[in-house]
Amino acid sequence: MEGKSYQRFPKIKIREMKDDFLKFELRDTDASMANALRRVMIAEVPTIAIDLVEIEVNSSVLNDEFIAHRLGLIPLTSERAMSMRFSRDCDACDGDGQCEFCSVEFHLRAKCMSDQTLDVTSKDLYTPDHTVVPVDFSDPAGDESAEQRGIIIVKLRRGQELRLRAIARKGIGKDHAKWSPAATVTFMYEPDIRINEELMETLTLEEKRSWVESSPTRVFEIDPDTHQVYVFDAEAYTYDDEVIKKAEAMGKAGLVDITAKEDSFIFTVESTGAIKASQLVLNAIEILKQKLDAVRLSEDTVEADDQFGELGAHMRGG
Amino acid sequence: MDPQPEPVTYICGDCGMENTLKPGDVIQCRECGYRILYKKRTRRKIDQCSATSL
Amino acid sequence: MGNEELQDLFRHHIESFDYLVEAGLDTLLLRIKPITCRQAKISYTGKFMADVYFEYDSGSAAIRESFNFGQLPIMLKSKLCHLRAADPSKLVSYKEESSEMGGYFILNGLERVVRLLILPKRNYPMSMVRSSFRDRREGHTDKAVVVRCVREDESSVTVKLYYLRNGSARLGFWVQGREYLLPVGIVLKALIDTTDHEIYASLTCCYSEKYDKGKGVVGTRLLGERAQIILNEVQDLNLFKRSQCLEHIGEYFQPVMQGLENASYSVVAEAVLKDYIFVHLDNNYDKFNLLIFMVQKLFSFVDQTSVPDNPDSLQNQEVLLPGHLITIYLKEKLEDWLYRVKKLLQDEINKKNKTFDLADLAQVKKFMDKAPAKHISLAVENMLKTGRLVTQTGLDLQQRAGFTVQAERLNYLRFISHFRAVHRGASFAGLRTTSVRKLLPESWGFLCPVHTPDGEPCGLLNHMTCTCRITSYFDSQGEIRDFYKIRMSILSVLVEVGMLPALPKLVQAGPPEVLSVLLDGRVVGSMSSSVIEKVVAHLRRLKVSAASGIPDDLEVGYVPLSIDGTYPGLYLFTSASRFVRPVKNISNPTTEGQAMELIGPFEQVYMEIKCPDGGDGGRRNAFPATHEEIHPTGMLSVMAKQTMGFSLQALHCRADQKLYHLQTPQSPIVRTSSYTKYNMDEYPTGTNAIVATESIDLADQGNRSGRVHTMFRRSNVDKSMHSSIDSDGLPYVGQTIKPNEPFCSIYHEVTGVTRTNKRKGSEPAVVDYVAVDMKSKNNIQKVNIRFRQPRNPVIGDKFSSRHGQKGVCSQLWPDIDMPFSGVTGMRPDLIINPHAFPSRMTIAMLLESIAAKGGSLQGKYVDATPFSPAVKKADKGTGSEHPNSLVDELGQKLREKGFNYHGVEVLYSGVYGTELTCEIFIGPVYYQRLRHMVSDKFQVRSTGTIDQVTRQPIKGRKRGGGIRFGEMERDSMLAHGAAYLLHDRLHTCSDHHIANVCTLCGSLLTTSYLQQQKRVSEIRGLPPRPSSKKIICHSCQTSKGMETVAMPFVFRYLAAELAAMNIKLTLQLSNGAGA
Repeated sequence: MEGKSYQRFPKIKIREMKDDFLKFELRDTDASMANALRRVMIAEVPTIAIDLVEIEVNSSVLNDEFIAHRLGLIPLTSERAMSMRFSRDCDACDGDGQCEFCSVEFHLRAKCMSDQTLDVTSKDLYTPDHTVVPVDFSDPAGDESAEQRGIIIVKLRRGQELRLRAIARKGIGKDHAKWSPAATVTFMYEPDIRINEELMETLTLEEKRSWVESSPTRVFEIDPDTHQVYVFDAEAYTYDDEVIKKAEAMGKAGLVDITAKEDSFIFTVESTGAIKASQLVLNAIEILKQKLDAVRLSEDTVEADDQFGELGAHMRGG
Repeated sequence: MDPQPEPVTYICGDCGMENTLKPGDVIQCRECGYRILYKKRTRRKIDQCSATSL
Repeated sequence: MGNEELQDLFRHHIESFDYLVEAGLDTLLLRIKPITCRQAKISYTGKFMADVYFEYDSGSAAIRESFNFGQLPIMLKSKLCHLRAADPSKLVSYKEESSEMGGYFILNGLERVVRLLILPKRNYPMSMVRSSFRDRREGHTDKAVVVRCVREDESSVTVKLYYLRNGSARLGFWVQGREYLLPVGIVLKALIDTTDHEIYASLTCCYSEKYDKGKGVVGTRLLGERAQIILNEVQDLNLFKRSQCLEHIGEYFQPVMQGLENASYSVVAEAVLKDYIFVHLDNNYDKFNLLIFMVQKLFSFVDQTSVPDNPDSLQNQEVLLPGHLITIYLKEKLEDWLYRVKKLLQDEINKKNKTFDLADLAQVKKFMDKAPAKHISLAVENMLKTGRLVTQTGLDLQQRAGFTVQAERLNYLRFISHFRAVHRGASFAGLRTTSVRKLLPESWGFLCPVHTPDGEPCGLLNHMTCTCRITSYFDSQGEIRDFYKIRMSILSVLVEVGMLPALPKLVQAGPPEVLSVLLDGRVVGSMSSSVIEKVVAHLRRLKVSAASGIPDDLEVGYVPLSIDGTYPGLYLFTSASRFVRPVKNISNPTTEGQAMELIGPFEQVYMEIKCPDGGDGGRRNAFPATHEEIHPTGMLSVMAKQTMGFSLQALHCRADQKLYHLQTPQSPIVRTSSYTKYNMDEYPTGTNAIVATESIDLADQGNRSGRVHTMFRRSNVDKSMHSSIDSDGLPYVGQTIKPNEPFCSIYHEVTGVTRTNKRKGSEPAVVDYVAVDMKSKNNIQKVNIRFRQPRNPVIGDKFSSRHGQKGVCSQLWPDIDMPFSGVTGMRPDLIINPHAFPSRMTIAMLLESIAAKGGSLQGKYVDATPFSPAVKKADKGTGSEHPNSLVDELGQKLREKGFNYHGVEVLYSGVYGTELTCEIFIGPVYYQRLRHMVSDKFQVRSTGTIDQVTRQPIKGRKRGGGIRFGEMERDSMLAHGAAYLLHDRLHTCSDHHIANVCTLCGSLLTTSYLQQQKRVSEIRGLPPRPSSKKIICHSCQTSKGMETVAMPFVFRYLAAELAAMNIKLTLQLSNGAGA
């Protein structure tokens, strides 16, 4: 085994891409890599979120901390996040986190003057910086209905007022979930389904139908002409073993053989809107690379060579 | 003692009028005579760190 | 609207108070509003005025004078309250809850509720066995018939009829803290003019030789002999006529009857009969008849032809309402006052003061002021504040304390349950027997079998079911009832259907031939047992029909003839404070089958009520059901115990001592019909959490709660001393105050000292609001500072699902480490160990998980009303379209949406990304946060304050004390052989001490340090060098043989204590090797 390289060349194939949704295949790698990518996407891709709130006036029903919390959870467009500095290691402002390199300032001024309840939403957050704004969920083509007015922060009745200054900073989901750019990141192993055609032919049409219907998701179908069972959508299979159990119950064990491909993953990524789903994946890969670099270049790794042997060499040498 | 104690503003619990009281003043709304007054929120800015507060 | 239904739950409190107010008290309300009282910590009261009549012998017209009796507390939402007629928007403008229900008092700013108390059913003679009766006097047995008689004004006198071993009976009642016993014969004779023969005939009428032993026979041959004994007793005292008996009684009672010391014997006797014997009746003939009835019941009970009544069963109980409690208390206080006034005036007349003229009203009033009238309201207020009755007579109640409780607003359901709680009585709490705590079948439908606290008050503090109501003095239209008219119309109905009226003379017959009819404790006549069942059905029909003049809550307690059962009779009750609940009357199909009848616990026992599950309840055809339950959930109440919830909507204007508030509540997906009915969405109590059942403990929840703590401080203006204090001496509103930071400073005007208050505790808090007020210029200024503490879920906080699956959070995991679903990407919020289920059998939680999963997929709320499948089945017959099991129904829903039928899913490890080898049961469950939080409880110390005497660490979290390492802990350490650890805990970390022992005399106490003069080095400013301290023994006068020994300090203390008792403790030292 000496000297053997374990290097693999993972491939990505994009299936579907929208601004906030991405579905892709990841092949020729193993679960550790896939899961690392998932974890980085959730917890380590930086975004910008409101972190510090200076409240001037708050006569609303919600208390200061709660409003600060709600503001923090509003997704802000964070394309700039990767190039921004963390305020803790910003040289320009000695770490007080209020300079242009590491922070964006927002203002909110709202006062209800009418008898109707005033909704204070994310659209009321004003900032001079146009690159970092609250995510706009409204349908660009669609009509301006009440729900399209942004994320509600608080509702005010007559005479109530909210005035504050908020500072948004770069951060990662590990520190607080508000910095997480991912709504959902999940992957599944690509299933490998093999129908035992020989055994299948011994079933009557009625039995086939009940077997096909035993799966809660549409994995199998029956060809209306040939009455043959075929795999309709392998990826709809949830590894729930329903069909296998059904086959066993029918006394036809081994009717179908389903295995998970160890090196092939189907990823689904949904973004909060802070960054595009595609960018999220790219950023995640970038960060994963940085993290691996950090391990590779750290002196600890060199020192631990004795212990880890070829793994350390592999990390450094690629 | 402090030569000039700053007056503090209070809001009437009944009519919502603002009253400015000095030390030793009778606690009563000048408008409606209500005797429970709420202190006005401070003009000092209060920082809320949204990550740690919740 | 659910609001009206909610209102029903509070009604009995308010109506009882309304009656107090309506029935002739004059109370004027001040301008103040409830919210002001809460804020300023004062009581919500009204001026209590009453008229005093002056009547002179001269026959001139009576003079009416109004007197001020002080400030009487007012119940919220009662007729006198500002909030009575306010609609929700008005309530909000008053800064109240939009669904404010009232029913409580505000005293010193705190909300207090009068607790409902169980009392024996009024005006119903109950046979009882109690061994304490035997100790009353020589010759008594343990058997008696007891009746609690209640006057129109709710004051009551209990009369007991004891059975004597010689066959006679004694009538016992309490006068001024002493029990007096009278032979029945004397009372019978004193009540009316009658003959011995008549008494004999009345007593023996329920025995006839015709019936020997059969159904419904209550009399025996012994009856005649006993009647003879009773009559002989009177004869032996040489009492023959009524006047003689009255003289006899009068002579006996004259010293104890207040205000009648100089009256003639017969007047005293009449007063005794009026004030103590059967006070609910005002006619002596009625009293005579009732006494005859009671004697008959007693003898039947002694002869075992009837069984004793169970005083612990709800059948023989009613409830004490707040208004009635205040009425009787007020009555006593007013009587006391009048008595005092009378005495004052009398003293003045006796003094022969020339200037005093009784006819001069102004002068009389001046003297009356010496007995301060305002104390009366103060007494009521104090009673409500402390829950303690200050009374000489005891008001015929079993307890003196614990009448009121503070209403906690932990969550809304908890608040409601304060008004639905019924306590059995404080005197039962100390009893060793558990029979009073038993859940009896008689309480079915009236008291919830589930909702009773664990531990000490278990079974004593019950809660009324949601359909249970209490009868009041008001009818359904809100008019005061005219009980006289009601009774008259009932009587006319009864006579119409064949009752023989009792008056003027009792009918000479008894069971099983005829049954006595008692209306509110009055023997009104008798009825042939052959027609009685039809009469009962007829009465029930009239009850249901509105126009009959018969009240809808009339209790038709028909006790049928039986062999050795309860003493038979027809007992009708119209009075207030009885339990009632609605059931469907199905005996009469003509009235569309929807006739709701209100039934009481007394009659319920003898009724045939079926459950609407389609079955016959095992009664077959022998006893056809006449009534039907409305819904099986009628037997349950509403509850949520320690859950923190959205307690109040008007939170910003509250000044409670401590309030919990859930910031991010959600509406449960799976809910019951009563949740919807009572609009619980306005006060939700938890969040829907995705729960995975798996063997890793963890929780990660996004909810948060603020604890609000109120301080109450007197304050004056002072200059700013610290950045956290404003120039008025108070904190800045909205500012965070860390532990040990000062938050307010107080200037004491008398001493001139300024004191700052520092924030205690270990958590930072935010100043929520600061309110100042001052009652008047001279009064002290008050400040109300409210703090707010955010409480994120942390390890050690307690959570619970709605199925009692409670537990503490043991770990908070990062989101990325949580397992995730490959299909949906869903990550659970919370993981529960599957071992939590088998032993606790909370299948409902598993069902909720599946149901909520299906519900959230469909976007619908799921109904989880208990027993609803049973009712559904009954409605639709044997419905074939309905699956048999609930799981099938829920599983089908999941399957339609492409999920596993059994609610399990395949999850991937969040750490490794590999598939977890088993399928995991996952779904949303409504989770509640309980009020026990670690930050209130954690206790830790290494060093700190110690006890002055023993030098051991003190106890108590507040004082920074430790937790006791006790015997059992010590035993376990010994068992492990952990000697060093044990030594460390019990000695080194406790009261480690190095003592000097004199080996010559072995004494521990006689050693002392010899002071050495070291002035020189101190003057030079040099640090004193470590002196070689010289120790000497006082008794040996030498420092030879001094040794140091490490020991617990308490040992030294023990030696000192022993020395104080002249016991010398001598130590013999040896080095380790020698030992």
